[in-house]
Amino acid sequence: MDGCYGQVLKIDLNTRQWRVEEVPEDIQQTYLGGKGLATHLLLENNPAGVDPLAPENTLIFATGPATGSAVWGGCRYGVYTKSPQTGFYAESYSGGKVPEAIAATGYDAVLIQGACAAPTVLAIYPDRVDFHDAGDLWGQDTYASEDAVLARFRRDDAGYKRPGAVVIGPAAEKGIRFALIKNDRWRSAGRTGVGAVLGAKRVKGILFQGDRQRPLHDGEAVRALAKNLVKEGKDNPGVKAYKAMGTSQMVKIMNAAKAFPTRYWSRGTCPHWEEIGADALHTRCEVEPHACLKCFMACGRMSRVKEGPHAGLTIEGPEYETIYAFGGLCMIDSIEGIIYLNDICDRLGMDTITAGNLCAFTIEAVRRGKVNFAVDYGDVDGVAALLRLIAAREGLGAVLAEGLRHAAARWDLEDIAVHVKGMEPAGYDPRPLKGMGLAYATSDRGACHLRTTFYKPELSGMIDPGQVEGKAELFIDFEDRLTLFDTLILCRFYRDLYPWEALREMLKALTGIDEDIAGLRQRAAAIATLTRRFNIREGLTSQDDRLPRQLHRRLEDSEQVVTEEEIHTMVQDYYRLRGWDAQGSP
Amino acid sequence: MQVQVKLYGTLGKQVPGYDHRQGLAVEVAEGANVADLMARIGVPLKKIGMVSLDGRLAGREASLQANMLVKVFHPIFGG
Amino acid sequence: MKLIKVDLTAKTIQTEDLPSAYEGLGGRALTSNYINDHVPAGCDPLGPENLLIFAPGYFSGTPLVNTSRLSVGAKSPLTGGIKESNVGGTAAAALANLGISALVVEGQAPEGESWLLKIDAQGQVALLDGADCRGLRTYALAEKLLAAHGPKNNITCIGPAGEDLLSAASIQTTDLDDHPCRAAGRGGLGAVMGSKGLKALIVSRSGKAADPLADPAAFKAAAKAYAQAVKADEFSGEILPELGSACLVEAINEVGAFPTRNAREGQFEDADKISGEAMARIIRERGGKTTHKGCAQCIIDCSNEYVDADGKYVTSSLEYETIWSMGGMIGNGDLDAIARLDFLCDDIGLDTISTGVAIAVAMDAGYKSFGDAQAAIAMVEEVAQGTAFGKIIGSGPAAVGKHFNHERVPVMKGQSMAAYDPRAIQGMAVTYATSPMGGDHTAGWVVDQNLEAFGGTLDRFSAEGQVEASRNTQIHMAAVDTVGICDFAQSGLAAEGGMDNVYRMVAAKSGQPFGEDDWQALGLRVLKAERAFNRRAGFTAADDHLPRMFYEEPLPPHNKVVVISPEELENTFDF
Repeated sequence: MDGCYGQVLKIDLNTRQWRVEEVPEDIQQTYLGGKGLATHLLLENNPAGVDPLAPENTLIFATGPATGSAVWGGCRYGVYTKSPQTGFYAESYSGGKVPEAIAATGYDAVLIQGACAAPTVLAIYPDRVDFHDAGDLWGQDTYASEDAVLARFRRDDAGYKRPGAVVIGPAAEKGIRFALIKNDRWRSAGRTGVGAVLGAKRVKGILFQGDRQRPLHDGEAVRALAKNLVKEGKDNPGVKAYKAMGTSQMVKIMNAAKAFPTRYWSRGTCPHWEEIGADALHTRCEVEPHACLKCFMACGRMSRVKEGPHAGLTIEGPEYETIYAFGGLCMIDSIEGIIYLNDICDRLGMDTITAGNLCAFTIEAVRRGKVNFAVDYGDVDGVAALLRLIAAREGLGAVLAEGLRHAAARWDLEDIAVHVKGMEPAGYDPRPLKGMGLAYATSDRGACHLRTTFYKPELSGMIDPGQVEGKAELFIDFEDRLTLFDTLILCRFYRDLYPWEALREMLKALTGIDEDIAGLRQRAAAIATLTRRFNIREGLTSQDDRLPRQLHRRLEDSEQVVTEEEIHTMVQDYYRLRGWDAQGSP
Repeated sequence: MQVQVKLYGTLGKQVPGYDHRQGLAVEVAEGANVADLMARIGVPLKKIGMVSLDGRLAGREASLQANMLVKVFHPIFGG
Repeated sequence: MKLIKVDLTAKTIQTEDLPSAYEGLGGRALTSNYINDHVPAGCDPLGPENLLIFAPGYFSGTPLVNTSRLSVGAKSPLTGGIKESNVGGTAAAALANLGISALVVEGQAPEGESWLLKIDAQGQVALLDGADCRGLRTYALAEKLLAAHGPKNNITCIGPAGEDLLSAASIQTTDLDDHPCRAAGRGGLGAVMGSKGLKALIVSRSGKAADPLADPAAFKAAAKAYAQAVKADEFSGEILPELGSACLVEAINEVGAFPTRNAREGQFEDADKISGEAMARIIRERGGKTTHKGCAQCIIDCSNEYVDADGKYVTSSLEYETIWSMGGMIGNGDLDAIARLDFLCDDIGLDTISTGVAIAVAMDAGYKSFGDAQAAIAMVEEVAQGTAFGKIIGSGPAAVGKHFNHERVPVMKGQSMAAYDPRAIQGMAVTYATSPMGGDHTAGWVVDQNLEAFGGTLDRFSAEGQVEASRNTQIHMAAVDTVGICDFAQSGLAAEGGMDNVYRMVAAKSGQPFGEDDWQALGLRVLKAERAFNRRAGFTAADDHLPRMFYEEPLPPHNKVVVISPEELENTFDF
């Protein structure tokens, strides 16, 4: 099939061997690439019930038919494995520049199995895989590791494109269950602990470089679509807003919607929101928009702190999710402080959403007398110290390193611990935004905001946020379309620019598959069901598709609530529309 | 016309009473060049290295303009 | 021609004749070849496998003037490659007069231990417990050791920065006034010394066992002619004594190559406040010293003694590079503050170039404002205090860039460039990028060749001829650093018949014929050993490139960028 290389690379770390396997045409046609293909491969290659940190767990890097093409928003890769954080399906996506390098190696997916005896850097090229000892990089932060991998193992072969590298930080080396994979310094495959899996395999980093270009069905059509999109897209108000303010614009919007998670999920509005929102970021820091390749939106922020103890510090960020996690949940009341904490997480290689949730949870534990540690709401230095302890697995950090589920059980605080399937929600409180409740309850990777980004229709007036009946229908429309995004692989923020019809045209131009929208929906639904099968195989039941108790308590400020019945109703509707039974089994 | 002259290194010693903070105000003929100026103030050409006119390096034949700042440097060696 | 091996692991001392493979070598040729032969290139620079070698130049200890030049070599913790750091003072003459060609420090004392290595007038070598010296700054340390061991000794030592293993740490050595103001500054060799557990060398200056000369009469005749040329030259005979190397401030500033505010500009508006002319006047008015003799056997006297408004000692040998790094580079036009920073770096044991540029990068990132001299002083003091940020400053500009995620870091192979911006003097781009040492001006100073007024034939804004000029100069300088002639006494080489004098002296010392080809071969042998080591340490062609800023940011006032391509840089050496 066009749009695919039709081959995957399998690397066995135990024996330091690799081989290339063909992807049968029917599998290509059915699963396309990205999430579709990777989920299929994961089911095929992973033994049921595998320990996520055992060598037998398979970790897959995948690109999709759009990666490396002219398609806007197409510079993304996905990582798929069994999550050490949830024990279920893991997927995580990242942008930057590295996706094009991954695609240039000439594989639709790279499967990594086994574990190295000692710290190793893999270098993947179209013609070979090199295994380099990386003992001296073990312990290095993500920035230094990426620089070293890129500097050491790039090849100068004619035609070779710029190399890219993905790396893990010290947190992943120590098996912190929410450790991430990093690339292009500040871009992360952040959620579900994919970095911990790489760390358990003792792979410190992977360099990708090559000269391959996937065959496109109609390259001219792809370029024409891209050209038209810029014309239409560049004046789109959503595009302009992302370019002007990045995701930090969401602080104001979410606070106004009373859904900005604050003080560890007790409130939906934050008293100091103006100190941590877009205006604060753009006036108190020098900010420049920063884009991934193949993007005219440039939601990234290169931010330099102007004053105070962290003056001079530059990061790409902070993203809205990091602002909510530290600024809202932990009540850090300055954008500079959030940038500082963001930088610590980036260097150590930890997901900021989970890290912020754990720190706020610890603050609650301290306040309730469950543990003893010098940290409180708004305490930047206390939170910073806690982050470093987690990454080092020292003191309280050793408990938190195992994730929220574990810490809640240890500290007898399961009643207030906010997670679904072991993963903490993002910055959209589901009490005012009930569709987000459905998203958190049913997402394949735990309390995830991205599978549907359902805050978008709920905030933009497409559907009443308080509505329960009939919500699942629009929800599935979003989920299916975004499943295709993850399969082709496209950036979420192009969701307004690629409605179903645009996706249809794009798929045809990339792959030659000419299908109506109903057919596309069926493909997406099949992938959702496939993912569901993986999770059920790993022991998932409908009991896992629920929200934590804390989210069924009223918000202290707005008194809004989402009830268990409401969630139950939406979940049952969702199962039914997916064609699953009342237990959520396909 | 008049130009301002600053002498660096030990070149000032060539001009009795030279004060580096003040520099020299020197009257030269219209159309005079750097070499003419050096002759006027009594600094041998072989003693000088680099010359700048209003902050740009210039050769010995370069013409002077009224009120220019002329900096005259010694030879230098490395490091 | 003795080689002394001191093992800090076993606490043993072994004296042997210099192995024949190193015969005829001194200084940089000896340190670099020995390291290339004996240090595992992949080793931890701060681990027991690294070696720290002190080797006087081949001419040190001879009657030739200006030859108290000491090469210190090791694998550098700053660059990860080979390093030769060169320093004057009295150490090289002292070692050479004891007949010592090289002192090799091996192994590693257990953490927390501190040792002193004493070599007395008879050449007896002993390791002494230095526990009571731990943490001392260099001025206090030198004073204490000279009080305990007598005045006629050289002290070569590290300060707190070296003990803290910081990669901008220097090795300081005493001058003729017993001030530890002379620095083997570059490459973080102070950290290597610290990692060994060695706090100081105490070397007798009363040795009378210098290597014999094969033909003393011929040597002396050539040496005399050489000294006359140095004296007769206007620069080394007149300008340097009067102004020191600070005479370069206004000249390089006028050229537009004086890197200002972390190399955002090429001219500093306050250059006249920190120039050699200004410094000489201030020193004279306050009763300090110019025309000051810093190194043994020196006839140039480029050093100085800078004093405060009350006439009290501040620092010695305040030089061009420091005036730049602590002045223009950080936007500071206060010469008193520069002198204070120079003293602090000497006292704490820090390279003034790396430290000044580290501060410049921090200021450029926005941590403090350019020109805030008090903030600069506070940052250097933080190094001594061992604060988290102090350790970053003490680790050099690349570490500071990493800390702030700031990209404008003017380093090559991890080491900062010096006081000549390569955008305004293209030839320096080649030297900075391709020297095995990292960003280093002495490795191949081609400023004069780039300026017509100084006899140069190259267009300083053009790539043409620059690679060749830098290559030839790097080969020449590797030989100069081997025989141990002071950079500023190169006027003796440039004079008519100057090189022949040098060849004659090498031949007269060794008893072997020596000529122009041998000089070339000597320089090449050094560079080949250094590049071979670096390659084994993991360096590739990409390590001979320049940071992007030099290609992307035009430098005012000429608004030029580097025009020598990475490919041309890579082709500088074919070995």
